[in-house]
Amino acid sequence: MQINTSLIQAQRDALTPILKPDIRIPFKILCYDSYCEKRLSTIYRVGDLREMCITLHFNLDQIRERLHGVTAIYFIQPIQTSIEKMVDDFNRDLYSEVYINFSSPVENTLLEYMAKELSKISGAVQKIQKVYEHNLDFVALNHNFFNLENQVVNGLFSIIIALKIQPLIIFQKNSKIEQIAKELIEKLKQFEINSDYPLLAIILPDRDIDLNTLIMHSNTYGALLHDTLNIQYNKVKLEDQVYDLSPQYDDLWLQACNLALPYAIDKIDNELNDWNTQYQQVSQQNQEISSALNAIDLVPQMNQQKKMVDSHINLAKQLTQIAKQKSLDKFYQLGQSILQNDTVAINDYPQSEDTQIEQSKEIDKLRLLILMLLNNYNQQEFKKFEQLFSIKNEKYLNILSNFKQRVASNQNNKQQSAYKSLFAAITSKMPNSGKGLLKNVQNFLSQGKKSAIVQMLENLFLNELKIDELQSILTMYDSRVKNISRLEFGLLQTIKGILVCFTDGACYNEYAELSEFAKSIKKVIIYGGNKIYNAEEYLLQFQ
Amino acid sequence: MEIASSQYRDITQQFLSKVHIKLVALKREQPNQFLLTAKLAKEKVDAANERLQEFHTTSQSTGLFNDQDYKLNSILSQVKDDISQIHIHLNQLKTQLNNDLNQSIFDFVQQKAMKTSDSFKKLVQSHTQRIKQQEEKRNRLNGERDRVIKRVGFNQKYQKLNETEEEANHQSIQMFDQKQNEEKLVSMQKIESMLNDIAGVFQRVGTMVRLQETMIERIDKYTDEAQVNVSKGRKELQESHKRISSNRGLILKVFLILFIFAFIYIVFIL
Repeated sequence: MQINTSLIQAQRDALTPILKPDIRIPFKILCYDSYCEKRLSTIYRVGDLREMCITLHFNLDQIRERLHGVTAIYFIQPIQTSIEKMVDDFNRDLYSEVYINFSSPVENTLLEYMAKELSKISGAVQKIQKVYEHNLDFVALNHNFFNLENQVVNGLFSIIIALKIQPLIIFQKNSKIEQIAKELIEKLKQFEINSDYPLLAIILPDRDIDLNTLIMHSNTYGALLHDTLNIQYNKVKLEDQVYDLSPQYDDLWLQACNLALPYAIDKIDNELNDWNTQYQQVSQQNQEISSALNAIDLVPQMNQQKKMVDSHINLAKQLTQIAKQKSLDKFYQLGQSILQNDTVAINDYPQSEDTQIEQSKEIDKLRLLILMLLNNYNQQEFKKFEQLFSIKNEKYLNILSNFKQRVASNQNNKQQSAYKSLFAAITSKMPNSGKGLLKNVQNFLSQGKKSAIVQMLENLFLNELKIDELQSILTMYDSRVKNISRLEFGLLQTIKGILVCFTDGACYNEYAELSEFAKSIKKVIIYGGNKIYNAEEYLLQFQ
Repeated sequence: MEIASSQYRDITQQFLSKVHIKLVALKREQPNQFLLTAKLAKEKVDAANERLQEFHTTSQSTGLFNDQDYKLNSILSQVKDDISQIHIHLNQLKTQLNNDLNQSIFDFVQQKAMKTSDSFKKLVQSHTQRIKQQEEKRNRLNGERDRVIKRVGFNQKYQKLNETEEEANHQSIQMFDQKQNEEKLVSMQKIESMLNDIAGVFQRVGTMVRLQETMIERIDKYTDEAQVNVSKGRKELQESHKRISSNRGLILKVFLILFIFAFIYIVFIL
């Protein structure tokens, strides 16, 4: 059976019935709340909406005028505030014909509330053509990258339905995730899933297995952009300009997101050269009618291409400038050394003469110090660095002391450490190949240690000897038999792909690592979490 | 038990069952003139697209011996009529762009019309190309036939009767070809003039680029702009606050000095 492992395609398919309720309607307008706007905006551009005869689109918060004669499609989250806003539109008699779509199943009380409020307005109920509820509680950021915005159970359920798969849910025992996994399983048990659908292993690990990846410095284009300029739902704002990083419309982003920065810059440069050659070819063509017409045809496409290349040049320029100023490459290397239990000399840290620059690096210093704490780095050495860095930001100091306490209590808590060490035993036995060689590779090009989640997947799918050990840590729910079943080696051959979801934060760094791993096992790996953090956002939770 | 493969559920009845008032049918509003014209234009565009599709399938089945030029040409002139009608509609619509909705609908129809005229143009181009190629092929074949006939004439003199027959045949073919060639020439000229017409109407590159720009806009652009405006507004407020507070300090100082002078004046001079 043909399945589609692209979340974007799945989201597109799921959104189509909303946007095309009836093909006979000549013109439509679309109204959505901010929650649903995110689902639409990472998938569709204005042109796509036009293609579906939607000529105008509004956020419910936008000031709108009365538009009679057209059909309005509402796409909202089933919550009180959004329903209130919609009822208000009916009060103002904005549109003459309305379709209502809820992003997730509506609670009965809310539907009653809506019915009651609309009954008060004369002629309101008659305007309603249809009411639908959907399962659209995830944002597809890329073909294999998602954000659940804290709607974890509904979100995962939506993904399972949208991808048309049978899930094998593998979660960590005795962890925070267990409750969520059980809720999801309960929800799944109430549904019948087509037994022709392919299998997808859904891995729900505890964030505690790996905080390093969220905190350490990365070398990939996507992760660095998110760390320095903050990517919000595929948008980056830089000097009042919004850059759109769409995997569908921006081929460069699709290719370069998970590449190490130098490779990404190479790619951008190549793209620019290609464009220039094409431009020259077009402009050198002779002035015949037919070739002139062809050239005109090329204008919009080339214009778009140029815009894409230009935006990446701007972003990469800004990024390299920041990376150079803050010597992020050095931080990356120091982080890697700490992970590999190498001692780092205080001289390795490039201190700048400029106090302002040093101050701008406080978050990076904090990240390095926390990385040392998490990896039981030598106490005395840690103190040296702490002194050298002398962080002044109150918030950051709070976070640091918070982490010190956490680490200390973790060491005292024997039960937890026993569990942790069991896991560590599994993950740390992986050989670190070519460790000596890597040191010679300069800057961002050095390859890092495999993150815990990648090691976990390796053990689960590639290492026959580890499966018994993992049995005591992981539980697997098989939706085919609607029950818990034993983990067996050889799962990889039966599944179509793997989905990894963290319920305590996901990041671009981990996304890049899993994409790399996916290539090596030749399977699709879909990754995401309740929220996509950059290091600073993540740490600020620990104030 | 629900089937999970259905991604959405129609809950209209469930909703209506919760409405406890008597529903009176609403009078259907008459859509306004603009929307009606826009609808007409859109239907014309759709019709033109269908015709183009028909043209495409017909021209695929056209071969050297299955000449459907007449049919193709009539489709082309129909499409041309459609396009010029669409253009009239668009010009009508253009005068009524008084709100966002009308503007967006106008853009939408215009965009669609442009796409149609574009594919029309491409079809005509490839059609002309194909006619030219067929013409060349035919000429080549004719040349070969001449040679074959000559050889037949030299080697097999005893078949003179046959030969003359062939000759006669050949001549009639040639005449037929000539007639066909003339027809082709006329139709090609027709097509070329059509092409120029259409090119004149729709080759406004500026509009194309502008429409293209809107097409790739993110749909949350408004939200972003609103945020940017809010942050700009805040900045300005802060600045004016700063200005005002610095003014306030100055005013206080002036008054303080005035008071001191007044005090000195009252106490010591009066």
